[in-house]
Amino acid sequence: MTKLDEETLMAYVDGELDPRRAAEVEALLAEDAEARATVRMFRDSAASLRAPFDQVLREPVPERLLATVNRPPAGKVRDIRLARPGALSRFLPPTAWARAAAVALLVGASAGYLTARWQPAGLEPTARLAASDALLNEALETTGSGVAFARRDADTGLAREIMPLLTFRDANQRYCREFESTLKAPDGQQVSYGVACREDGVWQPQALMARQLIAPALRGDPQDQSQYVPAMGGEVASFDTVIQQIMVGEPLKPEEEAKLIGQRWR
Amino acid sequence: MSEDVRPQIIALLPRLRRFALGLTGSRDDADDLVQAACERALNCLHQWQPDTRLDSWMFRIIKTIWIDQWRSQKARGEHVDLDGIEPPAGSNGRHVTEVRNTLEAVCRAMDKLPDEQRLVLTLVSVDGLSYEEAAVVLEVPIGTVMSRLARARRRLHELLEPKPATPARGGK
Repeated sequence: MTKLDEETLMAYVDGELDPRRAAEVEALLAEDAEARATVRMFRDSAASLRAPFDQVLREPVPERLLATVNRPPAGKVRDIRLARPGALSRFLPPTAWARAAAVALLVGASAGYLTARWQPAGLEPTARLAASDALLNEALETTGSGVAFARRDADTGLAREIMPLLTFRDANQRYCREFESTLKAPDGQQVSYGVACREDGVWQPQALMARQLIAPALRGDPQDQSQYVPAMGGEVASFDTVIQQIMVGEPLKPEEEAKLIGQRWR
Repeated sequence: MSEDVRPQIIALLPRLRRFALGLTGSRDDADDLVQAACERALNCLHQWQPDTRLDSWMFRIIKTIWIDQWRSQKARGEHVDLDGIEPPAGSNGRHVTEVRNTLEAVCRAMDKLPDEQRLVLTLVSVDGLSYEEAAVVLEVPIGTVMSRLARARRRLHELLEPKPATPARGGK
């Protein structure tokens, strides 16, 4: 009698054999108790997985996953804001420099650029943007502009969303990215804008600007960002001046950016 | 073209979550993994050939992220988080507890499998892909799928069963 090997028996259990071969296996099984035990083992092992995991299929899909997929396609932010050289200055009101000076508290220049941190008087930020920021690093490393990267913040346990807005080179031929980072607390959210440049494989924040928003209404529709974007308009414009100082040449096109992400920015 | 794919990805989300749970054993990690995969998929939509299967492509993205990033960064705890599990409609609390226990036990056993066995086991025995479909996702020959799957199933069985897998009288 030919011995049935384990993989054939498994394929029989999984319905992977053609009918003729399956019939042969059945005939051999009738006279082979050990093979029957093996068939039972393969059957049990598959059954022990199916039911517990099928449970997941009946659950509602978390909102954040739906929001991720439904977000507007990449490129939208770019088109609206900083798409091409020239577009940048068009978005700058004449008073931008004055506003920048007024809202931004310029702190020491750790990596040669401005570090601007702004927060409304009397409000403590729910969390600071740290110099070493693993989530930010992962987001900038792997995410295209206009696409949200959402995670829980390990330190605070809050939901955090990082969206790269623009990719460009600086004078040292480093890649730099502008980003928006939103920390969502139960009582509101903190929105930060920043620029980070990639050096030695790490995205180093160069300039940061944070403001806290207390607005329960914002918790309604995670996709509707129109509610706070206009309010930020002035500050974002002032932040553009920071980017203008750093950016050399044109912003990268989506294809160039996607390629760099695929090659891990090499 | 990218617009049409979004509803298809949404429709796949339940399966993607189940697949990711099979790999991570943690519900939060599973959703983080699916989210990362969706972000990457939307970033790289130009790489998807519309005449190929979207589910295979998404599974492959999840697999890649899990292997490249997840496992290395997974120092943040091996706990199995099943609190978020929802009772199925019309079931009672006891049934939920049983399912939870089973899922927890199964995930704990799967944690002990090598990555490549866990992948193939999740694709075939959890999601129900054919050997050939699993081979496409994993980019390995069917023979490799079968040998890994057989080893994974036997090991899983040993881990979940207190008794030896083969009857005493049929020992080798």
